[in-house]
Amino acid sequence: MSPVGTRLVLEGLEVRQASAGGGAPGKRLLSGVSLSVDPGEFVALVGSSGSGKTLTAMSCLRLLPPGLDITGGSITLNGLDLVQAPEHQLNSIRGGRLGMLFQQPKRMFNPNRTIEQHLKEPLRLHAGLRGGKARTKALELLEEVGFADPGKGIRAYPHQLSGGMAQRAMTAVALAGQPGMLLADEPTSALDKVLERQILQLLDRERKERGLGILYITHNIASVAAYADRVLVMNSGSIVEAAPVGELLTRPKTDYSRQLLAAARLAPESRRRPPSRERDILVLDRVGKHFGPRRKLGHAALHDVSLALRRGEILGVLGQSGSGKSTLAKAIVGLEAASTGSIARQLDAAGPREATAVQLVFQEPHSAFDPRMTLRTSLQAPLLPHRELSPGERAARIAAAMQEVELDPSLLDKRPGQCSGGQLQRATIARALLLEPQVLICDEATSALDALTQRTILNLLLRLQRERNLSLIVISHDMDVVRYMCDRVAVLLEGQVVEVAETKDFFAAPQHEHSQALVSASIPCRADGLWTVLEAAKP
Amino acid sequence: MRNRFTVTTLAAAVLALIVLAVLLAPWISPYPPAEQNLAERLAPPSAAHWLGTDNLGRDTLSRILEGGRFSMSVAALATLLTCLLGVAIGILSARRRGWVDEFLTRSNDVLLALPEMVVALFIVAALGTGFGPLLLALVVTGWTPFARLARTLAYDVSARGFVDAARVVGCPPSFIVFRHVLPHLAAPILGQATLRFGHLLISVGALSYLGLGVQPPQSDWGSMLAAAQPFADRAPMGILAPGLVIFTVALCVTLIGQRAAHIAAAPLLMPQAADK
Amino acid sequence: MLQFITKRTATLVAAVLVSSFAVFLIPYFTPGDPVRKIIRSRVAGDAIDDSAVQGLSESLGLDDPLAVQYFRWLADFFSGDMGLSFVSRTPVAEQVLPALSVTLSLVLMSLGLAAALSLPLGIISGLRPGSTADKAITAITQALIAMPEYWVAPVLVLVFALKLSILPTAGWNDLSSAVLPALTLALRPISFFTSAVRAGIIDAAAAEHVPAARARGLSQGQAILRHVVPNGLVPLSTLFAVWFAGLLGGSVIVEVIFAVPGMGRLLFDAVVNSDIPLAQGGVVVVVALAVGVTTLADFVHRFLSRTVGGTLA
Repeated sequence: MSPVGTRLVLEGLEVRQASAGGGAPGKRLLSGVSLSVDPGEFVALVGSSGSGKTLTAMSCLRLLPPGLDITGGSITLNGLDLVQAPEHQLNSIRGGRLGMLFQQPKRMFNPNRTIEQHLKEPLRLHAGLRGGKARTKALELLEEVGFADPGKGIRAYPHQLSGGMAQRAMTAVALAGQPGMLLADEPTSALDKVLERQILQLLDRERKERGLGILYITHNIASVAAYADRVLVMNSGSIVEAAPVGELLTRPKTDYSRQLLAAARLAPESRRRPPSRERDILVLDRVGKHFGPRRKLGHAALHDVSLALRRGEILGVLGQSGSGKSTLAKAIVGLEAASTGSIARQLDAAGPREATAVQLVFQEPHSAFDPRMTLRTSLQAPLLPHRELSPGERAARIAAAMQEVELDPSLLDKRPGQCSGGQLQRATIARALLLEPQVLICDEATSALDALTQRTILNLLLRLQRERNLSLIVISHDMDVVRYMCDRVAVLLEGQVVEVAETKDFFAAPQHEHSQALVSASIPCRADGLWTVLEAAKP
Repeated sequence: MRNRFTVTTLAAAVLALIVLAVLLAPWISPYPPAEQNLAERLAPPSAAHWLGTDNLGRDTLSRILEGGRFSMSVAALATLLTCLLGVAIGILSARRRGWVDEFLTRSNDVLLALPEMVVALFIVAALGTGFGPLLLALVVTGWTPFARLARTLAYDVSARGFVDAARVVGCPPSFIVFRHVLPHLAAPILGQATLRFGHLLISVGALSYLGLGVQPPQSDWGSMLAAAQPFADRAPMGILAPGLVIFTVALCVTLIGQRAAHIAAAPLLMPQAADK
Repeated sequence: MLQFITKRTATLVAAVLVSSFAVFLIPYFTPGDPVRKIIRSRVAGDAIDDSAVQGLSESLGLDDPLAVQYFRWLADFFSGDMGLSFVSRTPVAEQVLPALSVTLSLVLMSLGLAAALSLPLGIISGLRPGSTADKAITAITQALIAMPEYWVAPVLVLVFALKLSILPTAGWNDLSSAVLPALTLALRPISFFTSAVRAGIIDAAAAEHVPAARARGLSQGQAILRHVVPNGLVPLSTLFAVWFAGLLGGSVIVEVIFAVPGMGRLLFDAVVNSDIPLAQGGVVVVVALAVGVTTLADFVHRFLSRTVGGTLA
């Protein structure tokens, strides 16, 4: 039977980089981390990326990357000191009493081995099951985590599973050792909201039924509000605040916690103006894109997509990964030719060259710039074909664009590697503005940024839209972003537009089945204040 | 790190020394390379003949210095030609895509599967021996590794956001090729070129060794080795010395090339996010 | 997958056709009268007087369009009629087939030797990159690439045959005569295999699923044995096939030096003696085999990377 009643306690944990020699101690990455997780408790560890959350979890397993060492403090599991424990004892604890869920489930499986082979490892090591018995147990576990057809799932190779299924399988592997304590390191950050909720409910059930203690590492405040008992806030390798969830969400004590919360609370934009009945500036008529068998990964097809973007409008395109969002963006700006249908631009006559009147803001700001070029060179490039401009005029235009996106001109002499994601995303926008575009396509433009930066970029886009009367298409998987920005929403599912509606109507009464699932899964914390959410979402 | 740096530096120094000696051969070689001295046939190394003499009493050191010209210039020329050809084809392949890419890639696959030496033998059989056929034999199959590398790299670069970004903002294709793609290719291609030079040097020697490369009275390192082989028992230096020179040059360029490839693999390609 | 197989098979056929066409044309762009050369490769007997040429040319269809002649030649070729050697005046097929079997056994011995040596070396090297053992092994592999066979072989002969007299200098009689050629031929594969295994192991060890396996409770050793080494060896299968194809035609030097009566030696003799039919036979057989093996390796790689979920592009 599972060792019910496992308690994890960290006291003053310190992790350093191995000293570079010469006696000087290496850089300190974790300092004085103290926390405890009681049996059956759901404790959330939140903080922005790089704050040391994952490092804390890996320390508990004593699986720090090479070059990092625990240099102080203690980690005890039911009184057993894990820092001092010998390797063979740790082997029986890892995956046994102390389980772990990882962020990228697919990458955490050996691609050459089936799910069955993965499941049988902990079953053999920690439950002593082999052969037929292990197989029976493995099938049980898969059924428990929600595999509709465990017999098929067990034979699958990891790459044959969807992201959600892979995380379920990973959960089954973690539960196979019958852990009393589970370290869940952002287990749902690669998943959409619907899948996220399913996984978290699964974990919640385990803790209620078996008294599983959970240390839930995340940067997603909404899920914390819904499930956690207590919250620990981590910043730069230390725990800066610890409080019961209600208290932290309503009365945060530190500035850092307040920032995190503020970032999570994107109030819906008070309407900029009533959506006007302007003429259409961009019309997509039954646009289709088909790929041969040699299609690149991540390129989904489109089927008969018909959409119209009104002049001065912000249109949201909501879709999960694989829905064809990026293909749509590329087709609209002309990076990929559509296989069928037509994309008509009905631009204002006064604009510059038609070819560059529709601009794109990319998802990954770091990849949108050549790492070898200074930003100045990258920003000069779009003006190269405009031979009528003198060097002075070019410089003036670039300076003006930089100012418009609130970037310091000194950044122009930096290379992308020296800039932050937020700065680069602004620079991408500046580069697009140089060409005086009429339409701006934002393809997941803020999903690679942290919540605080995301918010400032969204506000920048809103301001530019207002000042330049741009027409925007905001492509995103993030319900909150769409709700915050857009006048209308189009839902893309498997390459097809299944619903188009005014934003307000969409969130109030989604029509399509898929839209309903999306809306109900997006815990509406940012709209209505966290407390009500907490009350509403608490199961 | 430091250790590897010194090894590479040493390799570069040795290589420079050999190249310099070969270039200055007419002025520094102790004897005219063709001068026969039948009295001193197959002499062991001595103060007069540092590397001994061959079966006709010619000074081995002088002949090595002279023979290097042919071996190294053919190898260098072949490297240059294959590099230019391969990079052009690779970039064309990656940029054009579609059937152009398909055709060039398949041709590349086929040529890669053809045994280099058999192709060389075939060309020599068809066109006869000499500088031209030798060069052709090396170039026909030699461009494939460059094309493959250039295509892969150009594909990688093109798949990254900044090339799409450049296209969206209306940059001309020439800007994309010369400012975005080529700079990213330069270092790995250079590394590959040094590695290939070593390989081609050995191939030139092989063809000359078989009597299909350099023709008498000219000689190079491969033909010297072949000529000295019947006397290896009595004068082992005759085979040891030319082979050792080829080995040393090939090793030095390999070390330098691998170091260059290593440096090229690391750098700016993966930017460190500087977010707070 | 089916499309992939069709495409690759089409490439294979195209490659064989193009290269065999080039080979077919040899009599036309080598010095001398092509008609006489072709007749000489088809008709036994040494001297053919001028009066007979016209008649023979007609009976052999040498006035037909080139394409017709080519396909007739190709059909003859693959039905085993490769013509008559200029030098020995015997059918080329009778020389090619025994030579092929000699080369195949030589190549397999070399590759077996290379695999046996490079697996442990590569694994040792890859599991502890930067260690003294790794540095030593890497240095050896780098040196091996730079060693010309035509230097290693005479030195080996000098030491083992002439000085120590424990192995024969040349020939192809028993196993002892195969040791030096196989070893010489194995040097470069050893180097490439070792680097490939090393790189594969380093990649596999860096994969994120390895700490995940440790988190399931596998010991370091178990994780290496189950999740690092098998994954690290996947790339080797393709490399093995590529080298197999490469060595089929790459054994010229070794076979010439050690007087091994294989394909390399045969091709070399054919070129030196301007024995066109023999060269044609040898080149087409080697090329067809090499391209075939490479294609097969592609299929295997494709199959493996399907289960691995590697690039599907």
